[in-house]
Amino acid sequence: MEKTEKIMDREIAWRIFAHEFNASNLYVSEGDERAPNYIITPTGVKCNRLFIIGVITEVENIGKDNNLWRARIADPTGVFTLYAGQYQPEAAIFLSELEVPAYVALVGKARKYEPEDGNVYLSVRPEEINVADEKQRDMWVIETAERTLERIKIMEDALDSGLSGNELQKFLEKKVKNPALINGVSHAIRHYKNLDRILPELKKSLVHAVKTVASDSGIIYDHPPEKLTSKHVEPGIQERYSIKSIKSMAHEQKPGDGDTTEELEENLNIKEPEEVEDRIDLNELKEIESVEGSEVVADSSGLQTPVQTNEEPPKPGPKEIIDDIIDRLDIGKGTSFSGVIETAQKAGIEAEIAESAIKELMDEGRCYEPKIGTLRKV
Amino acid sequence: MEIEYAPHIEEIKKALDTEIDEVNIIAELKKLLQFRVPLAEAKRSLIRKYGGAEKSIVRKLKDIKIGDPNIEITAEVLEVTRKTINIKNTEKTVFTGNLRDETAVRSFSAWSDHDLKAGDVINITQAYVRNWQERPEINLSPRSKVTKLSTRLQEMEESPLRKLSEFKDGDINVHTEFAILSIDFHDINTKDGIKKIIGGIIADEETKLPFTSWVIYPELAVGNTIEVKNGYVRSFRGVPTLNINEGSKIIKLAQNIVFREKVGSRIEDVIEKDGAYDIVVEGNILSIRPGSGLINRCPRCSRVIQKGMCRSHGKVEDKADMRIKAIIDDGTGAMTLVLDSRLTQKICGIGIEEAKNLARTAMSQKAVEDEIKRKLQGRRFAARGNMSKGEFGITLVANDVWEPLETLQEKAQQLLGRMAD
Repeated sequence: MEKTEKIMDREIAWRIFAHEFNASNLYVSEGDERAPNYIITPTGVKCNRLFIIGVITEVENIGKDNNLWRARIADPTGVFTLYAGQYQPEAAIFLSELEVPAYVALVGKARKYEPEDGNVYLSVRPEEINVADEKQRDMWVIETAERTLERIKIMEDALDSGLSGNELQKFLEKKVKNPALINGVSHAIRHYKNLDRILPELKKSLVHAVKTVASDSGIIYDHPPEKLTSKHVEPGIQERYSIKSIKSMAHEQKPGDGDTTEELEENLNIKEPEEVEDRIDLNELKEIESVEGSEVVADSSGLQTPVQTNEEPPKPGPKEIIDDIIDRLDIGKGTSFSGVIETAQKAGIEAEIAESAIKELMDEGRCYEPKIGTLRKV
Repeated sequence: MEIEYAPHIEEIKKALDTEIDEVNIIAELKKLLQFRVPLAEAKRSLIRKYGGAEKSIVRKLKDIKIGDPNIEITAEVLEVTRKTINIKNTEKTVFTGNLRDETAVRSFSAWSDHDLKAGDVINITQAYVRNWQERPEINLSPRSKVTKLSTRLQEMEESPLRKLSEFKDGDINVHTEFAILSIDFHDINTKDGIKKIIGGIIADEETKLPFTSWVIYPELAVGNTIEVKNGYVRSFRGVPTLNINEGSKIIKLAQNIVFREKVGSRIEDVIEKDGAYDIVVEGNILSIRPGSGLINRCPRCSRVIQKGMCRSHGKVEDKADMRIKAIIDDGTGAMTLVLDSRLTQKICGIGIEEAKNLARTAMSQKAVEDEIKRKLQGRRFAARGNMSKGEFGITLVANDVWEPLETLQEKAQQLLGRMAD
């Protein structure tokens, strides 16, 4: 029976909210280069495949010859980024023909790119994609909340037990059937140092998500896509950011994984920063003018919610403060990553929160890294 | 030189019943060794050549593994049935049945009956283990030796009561209680002619399973609640089946066991089992597998065929059919869901004629698969059927499928309540 056991192991499609997915910054790879990569989320999901029903708010063609598409897929807690290239032709065609906003059901693989310590960029590569409807999305939210709540409970019990190593493993084996989850929980407990903050936050986002679908009001899917990025962005600049991020994506492609870095880069015809230098300068001058005189306010309550929830009125959270800091420090040629963190710390923001805020700004296309260690406003 | 060969020659001679000229054997052994054949292989081939056998390895039934080449078993014959099968247009009779020792029950098959009767205790040498539906089965070849023993197998102590959900293929001496939901009578072929047996469905509080009784016990009637001691479990089409025979004790109980169908089973719980009968799972369709949609079958054996060529029957007039092979996943586990043409039509609204039209218009059978994908991918369904594990993974062959009731508000309130704690 051992032989068949292996064949029937199909990776579960995990139900994870964008909030949890994007808060993950641990990944593991098992065995050789062909072995799947996993992202370990704060509730211990060892995630390779996931299933999402959400709202596509934005679709962008960011490659040459229409062969690379980026989309944003929103759930009530946040946004997943989706990339479909030439090796996902069905998904690419689907996205190219889609009118946003649209409900979609998506099965995909979690992908990560880690340019330097502490920064992990996560996205989803589609395997199957189809149109969905509001009911399906609502049901997905309920189910995902249920599954997430179960996992939070397991994490809390594991933390309360105070056990580690083999003892923790044995403790979990009694509670959890899925060996991947047992393994993931052990990893998560070792890695995530601030679970006492992450888990309650996640719970808060669950309550919010469930309330969103349980009531007629408070539904977020009718937000126009523009609202998801707080500032209007020049199309050309946006494109440049995209290419940067795709280049990042390209680096994570593994040999034997279907696509290779060389192929992707060739297809993308990635532009070097010099080519677009002057356009950026013009734009940034405008940006700097527009924020002149604005005050930086450290809102201590905002520090508890580094992840943006799209439906709440924007408060000056750490992300907005960081946004301003980058604005002030960047006088045309970008500013150093460490400088931004330092200034943020002076304003009362912990380095860790500052980093995740920068990451979110990048995710949202509001700033970018022209080269590693340098930040720049879009 | 001669001295060097002597122990090996002794060994070869010992394995042979008949007297063989030692000189010949030495000459042949030398020759093989000159060909640089390893000594072990040279000895083995000589033993085979002169009709002898290497010593079989003694095994308990619990420990046999698919591919074991030469084993010795001591076991009791539980039943023997006779089947006629057709191999390359020649009729052949095959004898199959179950063997039991103190550790497990396993099936066996043989080309001749070896004069076996239910209840015989036998010693078998030179048997091998083959793969029968992903399970080990003892095979008696013409070389196998069967010796009837006059001893009985050791009487087994009564085992503790078990739930039907715990049953696994090969379990012996099972002790359980259940209600009988349905029965039907079958005729089977034994070498002594046709014999009547009882089949049917039993259930305890939470699990339904099929059963077979090789003896017509009057207590086995619909509605009765029964306690069985010393039954055994075999898998039939991947589903554990309780077997009752002459050695079993049947007691009709005064109290009633009432089966309540479990709703909302998690797939991770279902796939823990070996197999399951008549269960309901709910989940999202995450993938429509290739080979779904419009397919062609051989009219004689129902195999899926391509271009009107059947593997067994050659060129045939193919018969159009529809099916769906999908992955259903509820976030705790995944399995393959198989839907026949009736259920495909039920959830997709496409009949075979429409499917043919679709394929004709698009000039591709894939058009039907694509249409099914468009209609089902990502959606949530409930399905009822039997779950089995095999070569192709975990499969639920459905006999019904439907869209589950909308319980969104209820679940939402429940969740909010749980999170408020």
